[in-house]
Amino acid sequence: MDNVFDRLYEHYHTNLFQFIFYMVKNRAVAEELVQEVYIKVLRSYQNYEERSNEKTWLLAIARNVAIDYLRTHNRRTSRWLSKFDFNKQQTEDNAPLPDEILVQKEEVQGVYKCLRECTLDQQQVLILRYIQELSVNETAEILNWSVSKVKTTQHRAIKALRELVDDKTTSQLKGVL
Amino acid sequence: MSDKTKSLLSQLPELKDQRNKETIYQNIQKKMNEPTQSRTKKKKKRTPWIIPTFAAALVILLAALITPGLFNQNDGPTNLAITEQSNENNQSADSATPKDDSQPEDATEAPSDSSNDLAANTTIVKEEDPPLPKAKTEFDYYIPALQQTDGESVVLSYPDPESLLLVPLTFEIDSSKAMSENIRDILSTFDASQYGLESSPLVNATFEVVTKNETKTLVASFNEPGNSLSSNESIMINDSVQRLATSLNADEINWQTNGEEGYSLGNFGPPDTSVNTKPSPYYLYETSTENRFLVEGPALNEEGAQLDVALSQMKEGSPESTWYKSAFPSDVSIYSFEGDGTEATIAFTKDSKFQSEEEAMQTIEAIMLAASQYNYKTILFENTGFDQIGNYSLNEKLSVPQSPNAVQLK
Repeated sequence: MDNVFDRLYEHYHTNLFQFIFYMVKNRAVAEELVQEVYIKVLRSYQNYEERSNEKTWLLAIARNVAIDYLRTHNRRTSRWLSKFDFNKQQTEDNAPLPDEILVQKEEVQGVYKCLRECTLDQQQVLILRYIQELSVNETAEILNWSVSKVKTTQHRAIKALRELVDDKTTSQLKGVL
Repeated sequence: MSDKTKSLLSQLPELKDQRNKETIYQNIQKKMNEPTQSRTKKKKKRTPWIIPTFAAALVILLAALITPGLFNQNDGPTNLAITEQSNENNQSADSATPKDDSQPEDATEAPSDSSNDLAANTTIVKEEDPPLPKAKTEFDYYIPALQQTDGESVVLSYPDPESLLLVPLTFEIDSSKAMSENIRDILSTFDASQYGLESSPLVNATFEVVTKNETKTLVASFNEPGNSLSSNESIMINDSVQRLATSLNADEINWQTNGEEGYSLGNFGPPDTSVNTKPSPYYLYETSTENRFLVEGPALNEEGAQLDVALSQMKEGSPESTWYKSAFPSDVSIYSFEGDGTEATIAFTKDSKFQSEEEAMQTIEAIMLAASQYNYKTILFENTGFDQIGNYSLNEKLSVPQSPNAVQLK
């Protein structure tokens, strides 16, 4: 087994998988994409300069792979939808909640469901800052953004997520009443 | 409240990859080796053509040198003239190659003059090697379209391995059989993997064409209900049936499940019964087997968009959907487009240059197939740099092909 892979796997695999999973919210896709990340990393490892933190370098690659996937996937869906004249309704996202989420309390499940309704920029910041527990500087490095952009997006993301969770709770209450 | 949201986010669980390290490493190794294998395959496939190409070039050269010598061995003064003519013959015999840059500009701008020269010069060539009548044109990689004169056909679509697009393949039908039988035979026997494509999304369906009160209906009956189809599967089925209906000139589609009225395409619900006639630009798609096919891109949404809009989109390609390659080589551009009723004239810029007959074929067929959606029947091309490509005589108006990618049912 390649020594580089062995070391990277031991140190970062959980972080990489988790980050990609929360980005794409599909286990099978995350499994594919994390492999793609390793392929990119192993092919370009000789170019890696130790100027940047290895973890942020890997997560930056993972982020690009996930974004590429999401853009292609979304484009594909919208491209096909444009051919459908008959029924404009959007397809429902039927991906089942993973077991790890299902065993959580309802509020946590609600946050997971609402996360996917945030914008892609907001999701990235929320995942890196609160799920991966990275600093603002590390997040800025991974996203190749300025620190102030991370802070602004983070602020808006939390606000948007809170509103989404509130909306969902209110509509559930209406249903009960 | 924000703190609570942050706290809930932090409580999202750690998700673990359920595969072990060795499995992941093996998968990575397998994937990392794939491109190397395909590169090797590419080289292997291309190499055998080098020797025959050189051999053919050598034979032509020898023929050009020996032939005048045989007839004029004792005639010193005329030798020079004949050698010059033989050079010209050599050029005209190889009329399918791009014209020499050193030719005067008039040659491309005034096709009639050059065609006269060509007629005078090709006499010997015609005597020695008469053109094959209407033989099907074949290329190494590009699969040409089916011509109007080739008889009745049907178009069935096959997805690429990633289900990003559908490749419409044209099959000539056996007129002694019913259309339903022809379609069934194709769906059950054609092996799309030979072209690097997946099997048709319509394998579990039967088709029949019914004409009633002058309305032609394609009846599509699926063996199983489509309620649980994914969005991608639904789209693949819908578009394949639509393409089939267009190729059969059907006016409407009757969707059935096991012979009963009605069908559902997953979350999209009941499909449209009318046949989609929105024009689409044509692009090029290359499979893993290096076959090149013309495929339809997303329909043009611009209201009233004419052929020139489609052509400009085809030239630009689709930077977002990289699987659609432009069928126009980068150094080929359209200078002008004139449409008059069912006839159109398309001139390429003077400095446009196709590298090969195959490359030119892809471009002109893509243009003609796009044009056929706007009811153009004939196209005259100018400044292609060729007089003849396959069965297309480029000094004349060309009839638009019937449908793209004509393959044989093997």
